[in-house]
Amino acid sequence: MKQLELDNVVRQYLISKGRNSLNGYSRYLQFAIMGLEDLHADLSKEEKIKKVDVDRSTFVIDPPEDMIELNMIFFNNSNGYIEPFVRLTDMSYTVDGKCLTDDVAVSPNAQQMGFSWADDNFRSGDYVGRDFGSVKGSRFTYNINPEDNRIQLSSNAPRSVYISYKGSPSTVDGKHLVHPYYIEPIMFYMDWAESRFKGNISPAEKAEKHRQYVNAKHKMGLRLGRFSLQDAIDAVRQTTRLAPKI
Amino acid sequence: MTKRKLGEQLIKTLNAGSNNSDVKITMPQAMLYVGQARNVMIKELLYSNYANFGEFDVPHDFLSEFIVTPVENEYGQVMSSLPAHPIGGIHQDMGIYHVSYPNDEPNAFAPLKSGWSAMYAGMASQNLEGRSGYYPQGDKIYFTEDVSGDVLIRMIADSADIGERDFFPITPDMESEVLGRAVSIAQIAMQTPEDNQNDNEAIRVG
Repeated sequence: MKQLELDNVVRQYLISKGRNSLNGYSRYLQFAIMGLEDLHADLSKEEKIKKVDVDRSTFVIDPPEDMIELNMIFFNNSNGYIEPFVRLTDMSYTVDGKCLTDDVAVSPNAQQMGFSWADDNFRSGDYVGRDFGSVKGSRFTYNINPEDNRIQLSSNAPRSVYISYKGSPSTVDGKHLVHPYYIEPIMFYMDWAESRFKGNISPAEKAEKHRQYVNAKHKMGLRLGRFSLQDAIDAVRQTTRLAPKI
Repeated sequence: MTKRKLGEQLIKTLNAGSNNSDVKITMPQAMLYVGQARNVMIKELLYSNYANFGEFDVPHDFLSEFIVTPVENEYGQVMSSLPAHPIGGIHQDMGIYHVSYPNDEPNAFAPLKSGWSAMYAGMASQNLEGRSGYYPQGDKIYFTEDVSGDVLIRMIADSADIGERDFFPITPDMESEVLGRAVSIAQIAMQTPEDNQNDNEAIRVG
């Protein structure tokens, strides 16, 4: 698939403004990256998958640095299928050393990592607590600790898991690469970004530049999500997957 | 055209066509006035083009070319003295127009500002998409750490830094206007009465 370097888009913008030198490049590059991130967040279908080793003492994993939104945590089970983790929002973790949901004893290791990690709790011989995030049948669970930016897995997690997520725009050798459809909306974003906080530009002009960007973004969305004849055929096929009756 | 030729023309203009020692303006003064007139005119022309055409760019006629060899200073900064002072205060610091390795112009260095390293720290644009970068500071030019070897600099150099017999970077059609402006500056100097008495006192005017 054809991809352009973002540097190319910045130079196209400079050329469009009548420039023949790189003066202002670093500022425009920053605008271009901001535009790319905005478009990426709304329209990108790119999904990143990263393999992460699980700390066996705490069952805590660090999310990828470029992760914006978690899609799924999974591993391949022995049957060759994807085994997803389910988010257990009441899986407890600690904030400032205190458990958020229960006053329970926590493993020193887990507490150190920001999560409570409780064994079964008994009072006067009766079970009163639970294994936070632990096994319930064959369920694999996780929860996110936003404060410490960590993910807690249930104790039945394997040694390594995969994280599927939406990340920041990718770079190859330190360079951002963009699909050709991104060029026009990024340039309109740069034009808008350059003016939006300036005091000498009228609100009407700023609004017009923003409108141009939104239009270009919409056009890009249409191009990326274009419903082709092949898509239609595929859709029909999916709905008529019946065994022939003989 | 050279600065000296324009200077001679200025002296002749002020001296009814002759270039003799009677003229009140000396050659160094004449060249200084010509240079000052050029500096102002370039700036005015750039902004006039911007106002008329909505685009800001530097015509090639104004550019001078230099080669510098950066060195690492005691703080680990890769830097060099600027070979000439660029015309300042113009849009996007275009006084320095192009910087690259002499044999690799397509990979031009990204122009930066002296506060760049602090402002862009930790941002995705910090690595400049793989480009090298530079920022001028006073009479020096600093480069990103990866720069080594000879560097080509094209800039609108201050007229004072252009040799009197070197090519004087202006468009041919500007020569007469530069001369006209230089005459105006020189006339102010010529109107001031000479103080021929060595009495350690300034002449009182009026």
